[in-house]
Amino acid sequence: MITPDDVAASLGRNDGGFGREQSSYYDIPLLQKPHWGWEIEWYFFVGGIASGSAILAALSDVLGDPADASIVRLGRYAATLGSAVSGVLLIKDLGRPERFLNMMRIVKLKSPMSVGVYALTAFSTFSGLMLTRQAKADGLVPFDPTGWVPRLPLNLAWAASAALLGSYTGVLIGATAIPVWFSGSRHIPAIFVCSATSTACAFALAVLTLVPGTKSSAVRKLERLEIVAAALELALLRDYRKRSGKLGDALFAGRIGQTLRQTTERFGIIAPIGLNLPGALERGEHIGRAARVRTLVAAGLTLAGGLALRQCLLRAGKVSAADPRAYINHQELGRTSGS
Amino acid sequence: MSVDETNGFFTDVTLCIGCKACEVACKQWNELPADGYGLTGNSYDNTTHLGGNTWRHVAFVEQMDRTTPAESRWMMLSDVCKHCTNAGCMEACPTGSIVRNEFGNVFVQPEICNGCGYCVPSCPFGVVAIQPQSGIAEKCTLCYDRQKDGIEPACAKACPTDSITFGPVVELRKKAEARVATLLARGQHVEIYGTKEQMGAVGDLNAFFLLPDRPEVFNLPPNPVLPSTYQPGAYASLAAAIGVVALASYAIFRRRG
Amino acid sequence: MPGLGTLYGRGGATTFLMDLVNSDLIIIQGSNFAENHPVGFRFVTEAKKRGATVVHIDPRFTRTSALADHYLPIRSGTDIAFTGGLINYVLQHEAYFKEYVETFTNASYLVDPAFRDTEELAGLFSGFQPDSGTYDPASWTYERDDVGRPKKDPTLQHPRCVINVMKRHFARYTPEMIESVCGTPPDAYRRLCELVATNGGRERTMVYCYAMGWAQHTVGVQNIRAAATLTTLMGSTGRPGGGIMALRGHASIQGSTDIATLYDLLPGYIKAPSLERGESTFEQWKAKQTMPTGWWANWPKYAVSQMKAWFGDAATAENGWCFDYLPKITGDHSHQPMFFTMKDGGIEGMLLWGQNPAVGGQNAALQRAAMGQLKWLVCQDLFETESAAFWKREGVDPTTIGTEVFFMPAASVAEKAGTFTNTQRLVQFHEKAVDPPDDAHSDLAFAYGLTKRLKALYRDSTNPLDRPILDITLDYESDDPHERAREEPDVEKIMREINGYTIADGVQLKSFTDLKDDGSTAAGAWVYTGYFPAPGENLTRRRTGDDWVSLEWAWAWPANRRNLYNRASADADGKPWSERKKYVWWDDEAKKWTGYDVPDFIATKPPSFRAADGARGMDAHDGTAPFMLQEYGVAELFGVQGIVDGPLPTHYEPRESPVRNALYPDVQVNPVLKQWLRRDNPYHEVADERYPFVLTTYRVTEHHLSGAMTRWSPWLAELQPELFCEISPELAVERNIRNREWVTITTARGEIEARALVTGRMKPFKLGPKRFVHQIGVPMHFGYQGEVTGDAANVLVPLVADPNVSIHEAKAFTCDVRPGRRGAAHEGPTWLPVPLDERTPLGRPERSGAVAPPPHETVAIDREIVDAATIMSASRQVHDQGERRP
Repeated sequence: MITPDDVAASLGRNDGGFGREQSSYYDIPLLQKPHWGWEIEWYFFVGGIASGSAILAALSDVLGDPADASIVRLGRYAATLGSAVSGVLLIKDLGRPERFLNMMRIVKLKSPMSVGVYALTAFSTFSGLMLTRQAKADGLVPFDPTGWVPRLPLNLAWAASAALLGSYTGVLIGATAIPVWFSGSRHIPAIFVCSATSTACAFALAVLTLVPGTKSSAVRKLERLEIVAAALELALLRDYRKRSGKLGDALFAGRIGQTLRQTTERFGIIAPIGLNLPGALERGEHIGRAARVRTLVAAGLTLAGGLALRQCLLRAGKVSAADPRAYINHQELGRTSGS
Repeated sequence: MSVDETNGFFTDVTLCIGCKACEVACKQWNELPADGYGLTGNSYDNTTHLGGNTWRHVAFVEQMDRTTPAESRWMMLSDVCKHCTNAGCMEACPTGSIVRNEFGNVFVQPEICNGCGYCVPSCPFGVVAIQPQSGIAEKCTLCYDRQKDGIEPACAKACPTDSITFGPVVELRKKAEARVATLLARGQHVEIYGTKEQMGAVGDLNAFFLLPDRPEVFNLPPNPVLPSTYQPGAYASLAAAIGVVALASYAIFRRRG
Repeated sequence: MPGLGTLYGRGGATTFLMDLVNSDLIIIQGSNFAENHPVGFRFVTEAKKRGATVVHIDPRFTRTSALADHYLPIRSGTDIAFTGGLINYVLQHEAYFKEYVETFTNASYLVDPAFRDTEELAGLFSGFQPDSGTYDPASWTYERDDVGRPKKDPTLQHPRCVINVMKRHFARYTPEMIESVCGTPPDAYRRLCELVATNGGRERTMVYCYAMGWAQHTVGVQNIRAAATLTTLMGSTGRPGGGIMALRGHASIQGSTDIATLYDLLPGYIKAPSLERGESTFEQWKAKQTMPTGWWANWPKYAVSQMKAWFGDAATAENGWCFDYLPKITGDHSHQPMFFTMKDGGIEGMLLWGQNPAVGGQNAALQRAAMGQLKWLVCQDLFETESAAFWKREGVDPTTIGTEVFFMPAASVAEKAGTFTNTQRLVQFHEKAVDPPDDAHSDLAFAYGLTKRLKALYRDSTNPLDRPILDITLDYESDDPHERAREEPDVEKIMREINGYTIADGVQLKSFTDLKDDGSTAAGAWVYTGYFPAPGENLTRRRTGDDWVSLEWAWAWPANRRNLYNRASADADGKPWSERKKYVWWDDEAKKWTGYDVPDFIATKPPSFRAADGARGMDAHDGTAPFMLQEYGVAELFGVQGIVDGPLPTHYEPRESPVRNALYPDVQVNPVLKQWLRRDNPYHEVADERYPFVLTTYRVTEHHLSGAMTRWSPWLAELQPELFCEISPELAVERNIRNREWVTITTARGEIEARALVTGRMKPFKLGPKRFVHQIGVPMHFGYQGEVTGDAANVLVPLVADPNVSIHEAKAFTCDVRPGRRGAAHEGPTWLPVPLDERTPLGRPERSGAVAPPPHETVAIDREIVDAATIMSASRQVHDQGERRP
């Protein structure tokens, strides 16, 4: 039996008035949602690891602790491979991939995407140069064309481009009209910096735990940095949730919110912190088998959490774009930063 | 490109009969495909929203009042790209495809766009979108090709009641103000939607509207957001985080002893 | 349309769309102007800008209502009651324009003492013949003096003068009566009465805009007459911003009536010869058709010139101008009886040009079944329409259908040259822009090519039946080799023949006044004479406009007059009634009529002219007689000639109605309507409980007619992709129907399925404190062929017609509606073969007189229905989330 409630509901959100104020247009989304899919989710992830690896490598190279040589080597290979994969993913995502070079028609600092294009270009170039240096050191190539460049400036430039690459994507999505994103415009770039750091550390830990010849001091440094970055990331996520109010629902509520809470926060941040803490506090030379297993597990969880973070963020953007009331009422629904 | 005089649209909802000639004329002139067939049940609106293949879209809003039938109304609005003074899509575009042409309109150069899709979430009004068939971003061109030949856009030409009028924005504004005055004198409450006072950082809309009800009733944002205004805060966050992590890294990685 | 023809003399819109901007009051009724004539509607919005009041009266709140200043609801089929109430108001309050009415109408004429009004005979006029179900109109005439002139009372006091007969006829059409019949709230109705009463007279004019919502009823002609009566009483016809703007239903249907495609009219409104009127020779035909007074005294000139145009030298005075070649009317050959005869196997073949009876015909399933009885069918159209594909439709086994179907692809309007004659009688030439694709040809090429081939086939025939084909003139060969190769005739050669020329020297004629009855002139259609007055001067090509009358934009018939009867814009002395409404006036110095338009009058006849006794032709009309085609030159408020169902409009219910006729309970429907009582055309009886709701069919902007031109275009298809049914929320609650879900609508003819569109724009009609009638509506555009498909609304509609013009009733009948999809067999009993005793000869309609009164009062619901307040409060609760504070 249909009741007047059913009829009223079935008239659509735009209930034909009947003396009623209408608050949206049939609940049809007002904004357009970005088309970005798995290519961009994985690009954020791989790019973050690549840039973090580069920073770790640059850092270790400059500070010159020979125990960290494996970090330097891994970083240089990972950064180069990562930048290549990033390039492929980005080009594949384009609606007209054959026109990817049009990205370099202009330099537009006002567009985070233009900034990112040049960050990636610079980063790939420097990564390639550092890779050549490493390859010479490893005896794979006879000649290193960068040999004449002093260590510090090259590493600084490389690290700067890496830092930008690993974080500009946060500015890119924060500076859009999508409520869940713009309400986090002061959080997401910082979260990406931290996540790039922690996932790079996790990646390095995973690889270096498995290959022989890694010094325990290097492992411990990575574990410590990972804990700091992850803890900061968690704090930033919590603050983002609080400040975004109802605008943050797309990310922090529902299935996406569940995934974020479990995969990223619990398993991707808190658990690895716990697993890494004993190792981080240790000072001895020896890393036992149990410790290795802990490290590997922690690394895997961190990486999974990092991928999940980016997937949740990007998918939340689509959900948020589809909610017209969030955008219509954004001034009341969240203490948003920015304009 | 330097702008001599900005041309735009004035769309007067009180004159719209919802005939959708604008939707069809636009599709015909620009050779755009249909978007698919499906009755939505939302009054007479079966095309739902602007998109990569729909550059004019007519919204239908029914307000039937059973206690005071004389207050009942059915409002129709032909939505279009606003060709904003400060355009979110243009600011976001990394290839320089989106430009402001000599008529002051925001134009996507179709041979340059590579479909990165960043303009799409950057539009405060949900206008521009990737067209599936071409893979690039598409939206109203304000009939750039027709303007270059000195004729008005297809939708304005087709509109039978001149709900859509085209011309220099400065003159359209004057016309709109006169129309508002006339209707207010007749007891009809109407407002212009698209002045810079309302639109904030977006600035004046060069395709603006006369509305008899609040903007959200027609799926227009009452407080549109210009994305670039969030950049300073975002970059500050970025720099602060890099600084903190750099310090921590240094502290952790420096050689002891 | 006799609605206007019998009142004013010409069946066409009296004014033109651009003139609406001068109107003070625009009433749109029986029309969805904004949706179906959107470009014309710009003149309504312009009028509004200039201060006009726009009123829309309709069963549904449509896109026209959205732009109107006032909307009044009306139950489908009750328009005469509605307009009659306005007439009653202006008569009772003496608000009509007295001088205009006294001078220009038959208001002062005395009606024959033998005449009886419906008020005296409980719903019938005098002269009803129960056996034939028709009226003998002998008593519908004037009381005459010894020399046969009508008696008059200029003081309008005599009880039998027309205006007092009208007062008595409409006396019971009060706002309370209108509420109980139409469901219009009385306070809104009273406000409209006052609006009408204050928008006539010298300074202000009103115009009615109507369309199929009035025409498609069993009282269609009277619907229109009622409005024309009111407009005339207010003194608006023939004046700026006044008159009747008939909005025709097809782009060039005015042209199709001018250059007739009607069975009973030849081009130029010359009545086709009818054996039923005893016209079996030319002389008999001429005697019956030539009027002693008025413009039709010229009939012989027009008829003879037409025959000369068609048969050339073969037509001579001796052989009655080839009169014997013309087919003669022997019955009712209109569309409906034709299809009944076809269904009964009585027709061998059909040529179908741009017509789609499988969707556009009422009782559509019967029309489809009828086509299955043909031996052959030729369809020429732009796409394979439902009619072209009737034999392979759902539920039909093609092996059981013996019809041989030929589909000839047609050129579209941009692919051929020709003329349109639009709703304001404006004839506009259009150029050919591109060649049609592949084998498509214009309809003209088909007809021309067919005639040529028949001529060749019959060349050596001695059979007298073949002579008409052999003698038809056919000098239309194109001089352009490209067109000749494509067998396309030269349109302008045809136009030249329609325009007319002197036969001896071939000189084209400038005016129909140049036509002769001695065989020296030829003209295909005298109403168009003058539109091509000299070689190279095709006036329909002109495009100089002036934002108003625009006499140099194309050409309007007759004689390029835009606002007809414009003599009425000046008073008896030839001076404009007011400066504000100046239009045409007498120039005493130049001794001729002048003004902003071509005067619709004899240019040199002064206003002071008085007809001598016994004068003939136009000399019998005074200088104060604007309606030249009427017998006495005055508008016939009391219809004396040509109308078969009454001299005054009277409210009757539609053939199918849920309520009894409140005005005349014993005469439920138009007593002389045309109906066919056959098992394949079943009707619902009054207040049939199985079909309690009123159903109306209509059109929307996005599609055109049967959808044969629009549902194949993706751009249009996506705008309205599915058949929908508009239902009020109150009815949705009662019948358990949700928005967007499937519903099935049923009548005795069949059932269709549609998507429910539950909308507050549909509202139950409140006929009394606890009496409601629900109404639903369905667009008629859908069929089973095309990019988007759907069921045809006309499957539901019975075949029943207005008795004057045989137009079908599609706007008001009854139905049932329930949630859910329909069954596979949805075409009802219409396929059933009909036994001989149920058939009528030549498919003649049955006029069995008044339909029997219903067993109970009404099926209107007599309990409280779920009312608006309940739905409002429920809707408030449901939508409490996300409310934005202002």
